[in-house]
Amino acid sequence: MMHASSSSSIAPVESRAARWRQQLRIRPQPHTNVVRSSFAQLVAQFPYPSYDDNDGDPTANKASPNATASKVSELAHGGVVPDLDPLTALVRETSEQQQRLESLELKYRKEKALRNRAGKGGASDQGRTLVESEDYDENAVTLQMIDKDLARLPPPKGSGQNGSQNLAGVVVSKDEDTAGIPTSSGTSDERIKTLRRVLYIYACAHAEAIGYRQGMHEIASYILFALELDQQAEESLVAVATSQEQIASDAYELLETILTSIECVYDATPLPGQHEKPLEASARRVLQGVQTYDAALALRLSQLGVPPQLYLTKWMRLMYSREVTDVLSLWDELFAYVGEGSTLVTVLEAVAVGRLLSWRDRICTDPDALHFLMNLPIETNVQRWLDLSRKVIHKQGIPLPPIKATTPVAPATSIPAYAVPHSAPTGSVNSNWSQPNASLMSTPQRTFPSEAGNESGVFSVGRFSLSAVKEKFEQAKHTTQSLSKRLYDEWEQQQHHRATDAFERPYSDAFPDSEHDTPTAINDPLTQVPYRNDDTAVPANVYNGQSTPQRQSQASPPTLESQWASRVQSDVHVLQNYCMTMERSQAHVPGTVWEALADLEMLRQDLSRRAAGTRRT
Amino acid sequence: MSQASNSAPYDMQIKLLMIGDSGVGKTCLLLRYANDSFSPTFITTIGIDFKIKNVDVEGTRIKLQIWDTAGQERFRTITTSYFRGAQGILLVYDVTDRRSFESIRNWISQIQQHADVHVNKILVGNKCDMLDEKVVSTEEGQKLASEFGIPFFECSAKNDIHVESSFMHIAKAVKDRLKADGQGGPSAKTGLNLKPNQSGGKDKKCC
Repeated sequence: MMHASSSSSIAPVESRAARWRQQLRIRPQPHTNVVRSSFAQLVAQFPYPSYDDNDGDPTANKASPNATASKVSELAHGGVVPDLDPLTALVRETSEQQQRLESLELKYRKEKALRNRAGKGGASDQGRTLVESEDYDENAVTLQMIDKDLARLPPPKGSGQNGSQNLAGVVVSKDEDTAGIPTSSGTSDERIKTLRRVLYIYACAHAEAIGYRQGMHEIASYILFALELDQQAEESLVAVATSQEQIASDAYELLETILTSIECVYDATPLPGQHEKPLEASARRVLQGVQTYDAALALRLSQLGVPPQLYLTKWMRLMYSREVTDVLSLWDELFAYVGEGSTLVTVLEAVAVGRLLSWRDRICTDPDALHFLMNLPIETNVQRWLDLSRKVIHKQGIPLPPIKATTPVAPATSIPAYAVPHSAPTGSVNSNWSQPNASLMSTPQRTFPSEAGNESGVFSVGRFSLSAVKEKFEQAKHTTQSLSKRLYDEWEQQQHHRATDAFERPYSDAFPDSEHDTPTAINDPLTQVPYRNDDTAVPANVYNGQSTPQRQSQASPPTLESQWASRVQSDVHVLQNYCMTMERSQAHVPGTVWEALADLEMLRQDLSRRAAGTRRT
Repeated sequence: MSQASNSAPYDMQIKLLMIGDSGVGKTCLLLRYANDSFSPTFITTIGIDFKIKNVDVEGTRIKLQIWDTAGQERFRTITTSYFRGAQGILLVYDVTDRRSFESIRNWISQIQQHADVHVNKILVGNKCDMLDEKVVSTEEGQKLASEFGIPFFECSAKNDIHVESSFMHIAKAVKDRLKADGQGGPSAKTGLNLKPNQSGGKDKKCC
């Protein structure tokens, strides 16, 4: 609504559907008839499977196959269900029964189809027989699936202050209804009929792509809802009723445009030559997007132990229609973002990033973050979520305040004070540096190394010891062998150097360049490797907040803690780069490495907090 | 995986998976069990749903992670990848829908392909309250369960019949197996699982 696209239009935009059409770049049809006739052609081309004699009434056709099946099975059993059979007999009987059942049912349907055709006797029915007998079953199954889903379709929510009441009564299930047989009022019936027609035609016309999938029915429902509201508004002005056919045709046009552009989030098979499912690729891009802004959140999400598509599927397939109360207004916004380098899919991905960012506090602190993510509440603060999403789409910086602990839990992740996407100029970031999160840490008190004992690496910090960290680090090193040769060689060199430095050599030797302007990690050749020529990598300045203690250390001589903090920070960098590289090449990063990373980060935060405290006193 | 904190209020975490054709009532069973609620106007599951329930099984505090999959099995999107981690699987059909019962074989072959060999299974016939529309007899269900050597329950999410006992039964079976394996989890042993029909006889008839 506020972001209506500015493409040249002939007539001023008045209806929502017209605006959507424009935003989604649907070519304006000079004659409306063209659209209508093309839909009408499709309708003629793809008649309902012939077992379905009651056009548009899902109730009738839903019941029949089951009823037939049970009848047939009774026949197969000779009317009596045998009591106890040997296993082999059972297996044979079941398979025989299944065969008989299938053949009988096919025969039944064909006969019924013939009878129907004879009854209707339309000329257009000729020549259809062959097509139908070929892909007969497929279409019937599709239609059944559509009916099953439509019977469970929730009424559309929101946006229709005046109209939603009667339109919303789509499917009013009976109390005892669990099979999902719809009982509906007149309007609802009409609505189901239209949706059924539109979805079935879509499935047939796109059978070579992915056809119909669960979830598409909800998209279609909201498209129809928008058209219905438009129609109501129009009819209140002009006393001309839009025909149901025209509405179906308009709905089909919008549905086709939307679904063909987001088809990939419904698709479960990798494209030829790719090893990744389209939805997986999408999920990966979302995670990368999060990583660009908020390394802590990305780390947390990776640690949940489930692939991100588990929570993203529903969001993206339904275009967030189950996540808000006013779906049409949300879609107004989403469609307004489309264009200028953003496809509907990239918009959906950016909105996912925005949503994850908007819940970062909770996700990072909730011990049951997975449960929370999988059961996110309906969004009440949609504006905040969309503000974040808009910034993601436009690749703007997002000031991220320290993570607030919503539930008391030890933070296991780093919290960048200010994050910007990679493309933002570095210069602008520095002015936005803020004091790193000394206040937000609710970390339990830990024992710190005495200066005498630290070289041995035996002291323990909280629940992990430095030697454990070192061990995990070694594990990470071990896993790098699947990286490219170049990176591996560099890693080896660095690793050798680092291992000696960090854990065996005395601090003073290990930290020769602590007085430099730039943090060590930025100068580290290894650290920079994965960043080269790659827009999606973590920008180094994401960690700016972390380098603040080091800058402060210019004023006063570096304390032991700050030296160690910097050292651990560079280790964190190395590990983060390693993980990012692995993720990008779709290689598996072992859980222990993520854990090591989190542990190191926690150690670093502790140390820098200590360092700040030491300096002040 | 790593989300388990150190101060876990449970002794064991068990991952259960619910599979079966679209519309058989998987989500309703889960909602009945986890939230003790039932709505006749349920909605299609898109992707996968997830609920947690903490239970006490013979003194062991168990955190049940229950994954409720979308039934549109022809286009298994995330289901197969999720089979792997499951320790217990509830195979659900609808006693008023013969097709959903016939699909159980396909689902079992899916399990054999994708899930762990030792995964515990249970066959659940839902909607047993709908006596008038019941087309799959209890005997048939029992026979199929015996064929595969798995326990069988007839349930009703609506009337809350045998829902709790189904979940508890599989939770206990998984717990016993993991305890026997020394908590080694699904991949701890590679030997064959030759427990024939351990509790297949315990059919629960409803109504």
